[in-house]
Amino acid sequence: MSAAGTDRLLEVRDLRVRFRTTEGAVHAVQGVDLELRRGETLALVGESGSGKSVSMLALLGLLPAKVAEVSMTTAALHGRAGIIDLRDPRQLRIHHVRGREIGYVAQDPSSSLNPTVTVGEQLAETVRHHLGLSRRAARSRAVELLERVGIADPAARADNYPHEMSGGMRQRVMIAIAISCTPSVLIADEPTTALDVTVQAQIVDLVRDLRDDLGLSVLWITHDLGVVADLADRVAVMYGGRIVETSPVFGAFDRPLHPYTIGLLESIPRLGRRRERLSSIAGLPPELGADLASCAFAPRCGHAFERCHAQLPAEVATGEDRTLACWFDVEAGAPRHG
Amino acid sequence: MCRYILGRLAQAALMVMGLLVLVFVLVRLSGDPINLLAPRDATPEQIDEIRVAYGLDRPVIAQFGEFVVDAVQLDFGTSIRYKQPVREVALERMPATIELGVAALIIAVGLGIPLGVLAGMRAGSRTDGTVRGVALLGQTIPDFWLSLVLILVFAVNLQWFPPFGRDTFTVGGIAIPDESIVLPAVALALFPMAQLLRFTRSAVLEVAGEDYVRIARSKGMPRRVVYRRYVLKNAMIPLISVLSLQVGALISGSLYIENVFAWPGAGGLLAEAVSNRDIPLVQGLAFLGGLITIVFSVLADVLYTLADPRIRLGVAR
Amino acid sequence: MSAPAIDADRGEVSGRVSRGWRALLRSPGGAAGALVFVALTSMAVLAPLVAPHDPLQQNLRAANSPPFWSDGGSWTYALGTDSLGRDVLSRIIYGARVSLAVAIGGVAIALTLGLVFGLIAGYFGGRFDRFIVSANDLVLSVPYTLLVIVIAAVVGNSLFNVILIFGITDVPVFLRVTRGEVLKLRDSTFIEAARAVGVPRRRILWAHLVPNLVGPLGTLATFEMSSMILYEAGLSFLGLSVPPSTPSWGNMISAGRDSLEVYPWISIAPGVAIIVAGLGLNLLGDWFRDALDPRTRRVPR
Repeated sequence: MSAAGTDRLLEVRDLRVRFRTTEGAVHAVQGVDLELRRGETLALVGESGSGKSVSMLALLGLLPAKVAEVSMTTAALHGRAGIIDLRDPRQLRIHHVRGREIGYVAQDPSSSLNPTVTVGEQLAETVRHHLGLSRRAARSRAVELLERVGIADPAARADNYPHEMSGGMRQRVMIAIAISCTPSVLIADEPTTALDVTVQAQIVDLVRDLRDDLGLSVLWITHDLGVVADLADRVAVMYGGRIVETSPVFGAFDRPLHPYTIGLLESIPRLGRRRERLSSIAGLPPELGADLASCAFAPRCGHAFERCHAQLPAEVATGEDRTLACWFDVEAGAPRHG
Repeated sequence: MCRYILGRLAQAALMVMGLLVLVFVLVRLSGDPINLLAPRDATPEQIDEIRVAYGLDRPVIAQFGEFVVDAVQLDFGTSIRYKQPVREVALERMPATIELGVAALIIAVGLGIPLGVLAGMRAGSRTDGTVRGVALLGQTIPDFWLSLVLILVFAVNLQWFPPFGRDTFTVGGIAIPDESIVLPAVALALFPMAQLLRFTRSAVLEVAGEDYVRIARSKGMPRRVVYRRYVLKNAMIPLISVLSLQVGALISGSLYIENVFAWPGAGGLLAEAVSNRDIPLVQGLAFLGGLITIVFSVLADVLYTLADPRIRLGVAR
Repeated sequence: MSAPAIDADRGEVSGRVSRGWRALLRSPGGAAGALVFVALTSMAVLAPLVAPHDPLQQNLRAANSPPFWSDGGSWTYALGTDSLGRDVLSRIIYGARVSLAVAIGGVAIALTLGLVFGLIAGYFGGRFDRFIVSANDLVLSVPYTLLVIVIAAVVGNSLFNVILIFGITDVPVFLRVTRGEVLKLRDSTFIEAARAVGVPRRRILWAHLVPNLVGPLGTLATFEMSSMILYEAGLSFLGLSVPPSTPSWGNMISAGRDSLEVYPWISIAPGVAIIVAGLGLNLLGDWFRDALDPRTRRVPR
């Protein structure tokens, strides 16, 4: 972690989320450390159930208290007016963190918009609340925003209801809402997963465009490594509720250090390669939310040895702005020292 | 949109037809309906006259045809007890029932919906439990029994209200019921209120769990706006259908409530007619009751499609 | 529903039932409901043994005696007597027979017919389905009380008639639920997969439909029993149910109307019985729903 202090925009230490259910406690997130630097795009990669979406919701305080126990040692946003402690609901409210400092785009555009309110109004109410604009000013800003995200005929479209638009258009609206108050951070939770492939590319381009234009720092959650390569500066890999590896993107693709990351990259089918079977990671994903005191990936790992099954790997810096949580050194082919 | 309304009306017409069949069949369930349609003290000649008047000497199909033609004109024959055309007797008592029904509906909506919203927002809390307990009681307490209890406590002991009857005062030539409407309206409102409460609660619960509510919070909208625009606005739509169900409950309830409180409405009339085995009157009132329910059901469906933009404007690709 | 879920359902029914007993004891509502149901049934079945007096025995000298907690009351007639000197408590106990007979008999008929016709409608589809659904909707569109009262007015007063009436008029709800489950199963992609592998359709439906029906139908049956007790009381109140010589909670309430101001317990006591029975069955139904229907499983408070 060699970044200078002022570069850090968002800092999270030891984020834990525990759900209370009739079947017992589900430990969805078990000690996640995250750092988003100013101007960078960080990709959070992991499969379903790895805890990536839950982490973001917990960070924004959107998990109902009755159901989820959230704890964080640090959750600091370096906002315009100083450092904001995201754990404090009062500060969240006063500094208009949600919506103005941090914009959030969710995965499923078909259910993320209020079906009984027009699209334009859903945009306008956001800027009215955060920026204090008048009705008329908010309305014209809404039309502006719709145009900015690439929706044709924005003035007419503003009076549409969500179901009158296609999935891709709805997602553009969601993005418009997220950037409407020029936030410093944009958190995008798998925004393209529910869309057609061609539309996916358009959305990615849109976000890249907006990012460069508005100087956004982006936290992009995905399980699609193609998007990671396309958009991200750094990547953090999650497995079993923990971060197992962080790295600048090229390093990750070039020299993956965690067996899970290696498995992920290997399983991408490539044209031109002559293979009879697709390579996949053996075994099944970990049981959802079990509280393990050892490496969650060990049962599926080809390099696992006794220590992996007995002790939780600590996250250590391995140089070149990378971190790793693994007892095995894949490059050396032997357990790590220390 | 128009097509939908027309379709719905056609469906309703079919239902009315079915209702007529039902009523027609029910009366003939126990065999020769002449026993039911003629007064007990009728002479054989009178019985024959009545038989002809009701067309009972004709084949069943012809009888049904005539029945339908008559029903459309709301002609259900003559009430055995009142010796007057059923239509007159029934329509004369309608207004009082409508009064009572409206009063009860106001109470039911005024209490049921806000309590349901409260319970839905605070699901799992003690408030929720209490409110749900009230709803449960509302559905298990017999309304006729409650009427008696209300009379005992508020009319006999506390003397706040009259124990029975409909008293009015005149305003501008129109007779408006006074506080004599309170106890019957409260008793009648019990069951609809409980139902409305439960439906509102689950509608609110369901909507509150939707993604777009969470997204609204994620964009920083204040709680009050989220509740009003996102939760309530969407939860109210299914309630429209439920309200139409309440009309049926009010009609059913009025039978007992009017009976106990001697409220001069059509419900009490039906209860009386049933006790007296005044079948022509029973037939007529039952048909009217069913007809009103169907009408309101159609109305509710139409309103529902108007209220939900997803249906009103058609679902896009 | 995916295949593993349904397979799990199948094996799980027996597991669920045994877990159910333990859960019943743990849940206060469910336990209370079960207790009420057992008490009700025992009262009805063992009435001659449990009732302190003959419900039909008149004792004009002790007419209108108040319950034991008022002055003038005694433990001989614990809940007082009515205008003919008949013991209210005993009549309530015997009244449970009527209520329970209607509830159980009515639900049994409605469940059976609803199940059969629902299966036919869902399984065969086409014209059968359309006809059955239309008839169903028609009956549902009429206010229930209206329907029941008209029929009761036309046929005579007897317990058998009442059970029949309630049984038949309540078919639509059971039919709707059954048909819904059949359709859901029929349309699930898992059925396509099973058929593709060669499993005969009938076997699939049989093996997987039954476990999926137990929950919803069981819950519905419990709630409908509660409703029927209420509706039967209403009918009795108007004199349309059992003949007046047979004590039923409804006709007891009606009989006490005239003397409400001076001897209120005659009407009040049977009403309380109705409420307790209704509450108990409702709580039992709630518990049923939570225990047997995995879809409504909730996060604890």
